[in-house]
Amino acid sequence: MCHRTDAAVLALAVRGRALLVLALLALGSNAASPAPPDAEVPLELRLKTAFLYNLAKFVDWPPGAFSPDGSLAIGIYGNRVFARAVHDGLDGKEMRGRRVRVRELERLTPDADGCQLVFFDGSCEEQLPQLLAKLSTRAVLTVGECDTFLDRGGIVNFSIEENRIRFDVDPDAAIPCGLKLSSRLLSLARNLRRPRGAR
Amino acid sequence: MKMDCSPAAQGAGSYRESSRGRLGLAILICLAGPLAWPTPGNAGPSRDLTSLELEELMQVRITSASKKQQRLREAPAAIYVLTSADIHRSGATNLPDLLRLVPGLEVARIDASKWAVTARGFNGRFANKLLVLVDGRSVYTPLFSGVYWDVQDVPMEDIDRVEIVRGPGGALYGANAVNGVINVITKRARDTQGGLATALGGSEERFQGLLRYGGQAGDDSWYRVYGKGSRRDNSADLAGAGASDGWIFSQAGFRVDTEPNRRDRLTVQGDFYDGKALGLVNSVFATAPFVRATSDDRSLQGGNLTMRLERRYSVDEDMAAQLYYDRTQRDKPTYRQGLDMIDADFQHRRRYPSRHELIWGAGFRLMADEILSTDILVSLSPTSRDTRIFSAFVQDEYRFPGDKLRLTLGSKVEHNSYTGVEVQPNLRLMWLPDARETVWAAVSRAVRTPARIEDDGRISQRPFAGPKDPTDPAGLRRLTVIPTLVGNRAIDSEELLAREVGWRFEASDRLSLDAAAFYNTYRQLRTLEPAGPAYLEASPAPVHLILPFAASNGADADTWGLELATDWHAAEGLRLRSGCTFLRLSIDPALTSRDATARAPERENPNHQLFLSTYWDMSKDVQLDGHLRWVDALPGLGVPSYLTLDLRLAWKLRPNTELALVGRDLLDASHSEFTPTSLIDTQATQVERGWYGKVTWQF
Repeated sequence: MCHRTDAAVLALAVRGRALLVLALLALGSNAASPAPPDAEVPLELRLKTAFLYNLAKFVDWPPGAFSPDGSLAIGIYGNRVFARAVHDGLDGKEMRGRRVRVRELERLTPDADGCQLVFFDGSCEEQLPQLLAKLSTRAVLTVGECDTFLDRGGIVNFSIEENRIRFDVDPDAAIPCGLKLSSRLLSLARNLRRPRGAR
Repeated sequence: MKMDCSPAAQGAGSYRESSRGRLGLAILICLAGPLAWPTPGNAGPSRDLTSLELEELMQVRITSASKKQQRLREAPAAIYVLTSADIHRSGATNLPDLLRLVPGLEVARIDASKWAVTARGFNGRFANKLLVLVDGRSVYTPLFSGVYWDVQDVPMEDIDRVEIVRGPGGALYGANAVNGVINVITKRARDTQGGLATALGGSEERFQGLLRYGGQAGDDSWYRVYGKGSRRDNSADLAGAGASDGWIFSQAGFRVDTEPNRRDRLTVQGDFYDGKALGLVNSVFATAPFVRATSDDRSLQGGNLTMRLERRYSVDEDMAAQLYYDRTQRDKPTYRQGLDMIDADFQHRRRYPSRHELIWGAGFRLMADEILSTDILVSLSPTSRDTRIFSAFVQDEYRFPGDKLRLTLGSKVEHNSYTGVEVQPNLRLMWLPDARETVWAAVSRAVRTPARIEDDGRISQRPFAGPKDPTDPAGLRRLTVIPTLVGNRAIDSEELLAREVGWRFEASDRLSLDAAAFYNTYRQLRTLEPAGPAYLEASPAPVHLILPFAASNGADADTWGLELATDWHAAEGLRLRSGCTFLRLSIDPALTSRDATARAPERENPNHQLFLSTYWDMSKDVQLDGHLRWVDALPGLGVPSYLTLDLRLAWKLRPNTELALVGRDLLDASHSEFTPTSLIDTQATQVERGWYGKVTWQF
């Protein structure tokens, strides 16, 4: 394949300027073709969005955790670009009979603005102890993306390993919140964190 | 295409015709690279990922928008990064060869242990406008202004990444970061735990072996130690016969990282080396033949020790303090050159709620040298000198409301022993219209401070026959005239005013483009000007005439250029990268300048360069990588253009064992890349086709 690369390029090169025009035209038309709307959002953000949606499928919230309209509210803290991506990807979708609502959280109120799932951007690492303390007994699934997230009381943490997204789960942290995590979710977690009792 | 209307191109006569064809070829390869095949349809950008199951999501590879690259994308400068994976797949066994895969850099081998490396023009063995740092330690020599690449033998396996910034970095890095800055950053000790052994053998790289072991000491400390040895074969001289330019080198080192708490990291690291490099240099004699090739065989010893404390108060505030000592010793029978350098550096960063991010720092460097020479070619007086640099910098980045526009303003102010106070400000503006696009522009000033050799040196140039010798009774003998560079303490810094624009665009998750253009104006470039009348000198005999020249600031220059890079993940497991570089230099010697060679750099730098790299994962365990490069002719040095190809086939035998077969410079038996002409006349050799096999074993 490598030989083909070089041969192809050389062949293109020797034909000279006529092909240059063609190449420019081809590039021009390539750039001009309308991209699908989703393509505006980088893959990493779309992938994390899909992870949030899929994680929520495997969590049971206690009765009464939801607002009267029965929707599932997802809050994004600390990253406006991601908040927009999640909003575009998930807002209005249906999950297990509930309508998904997405909002950007500029501040974290003690009730997390009624969200059942809150994602904390990696840039919030230093504020995490205060932020997570507010939610430690509320029925909120906390999701983060920094090395110390689970140490500081978070429930699910994303990380990137060999260009793929992985997640760790601390099932113990979910207990005081009244959340039930399905065994399937736990089996897929990389689960570097052992249950506290085992330490 | 506009560049062909430049005065430089018009002045080049017939050369201009061919260069236009080459420009077309260059653009073609850059643009057509990504168009060579249709994109195969698989998990494309439009697919709705939320419909996938968790198991499937975990298999999706993120190819471009990782956090590190995100940070990179937000740099208002022409920055390029080689990651450890790029380095592993490059097949390069030394830093200069690795840098050949960076768009915008000029890398040319002079002999088996000497290279000419720069960005944006003015290349040479002592390319004096490129600053190189290894883990924050400067390896730019203040004696000759340039980098001794023959002692920069960082183990490739230890490098985490190499960050290359083309264009001035004087506002942060200080003097001599004129045309670019290269930062070699090694891995943290905790990332190199366990054992690693590599053995390499082949035709040009005769042998290279590395043994490294990393472990943990206590709960919060990690360490690694390594030893490395290598031997490089002699190459062919310009006539094709065997040359004597081999290179033997051994190096050992360590690194310890301690993280006693969440906010601090203390690093202590050091390297020690001992080697011998062979070569030839054209030496000058007062008797015929006046120029003779003499041994440039040199023994190389040195070491360095660095301590660094990084403290992270919060995401918004951190600081780093660093202290290092570096010693280099280069010895020949007639010439001994030693340099000790101590450097202390501090910097602090804080982001304020008012949308400002302020970085400031201060530094001190002491350089103590001793150069003892009995060589007629090069000597210095005084033989020993201490020079100092005191520096401080401050830089503010302001994010305009809306987070789309950022303005960076900063300057370094330093005082050096040669020219006193130097101020190097820059102004950078960056626009991030969306998550995929970055547009930036910058205006900066940078200076190249004089080298010790320019201040205090004496270098003999090619002699010629002069007037009759008055001491010869027969009146037949002619005096030999030796033009000689003599030190000039009045020499000033070379100055640059650079204007740059750049554009980075992620066209999709698979294709990204990076373009940068610059227009540089240099003032007070170095020229060699007559310095007083010729005088007779009796030693070494016979009596000869010295025609003194002094390094002066006799030329201005304009340079401009364009650098393009593409990165295309063509399919799962197939990645193509390309780079194109266009460069023009137009040098304008002052009316008073008598230096006939002042305009030489115009014809000593490639006007066009391009490369195409393919990285192909043939299966889970087999990789085939190819690097095709074309470098334009250097008419001023008589070096023709060349096309060359490196191939690497690697097979992961077991998860911890890899076999690789690498062929380098495969397209011709040998080719010439650079023949230095200025100041010190090193005898260049040719790069020969070569191959090697390599085993990498982790334990």
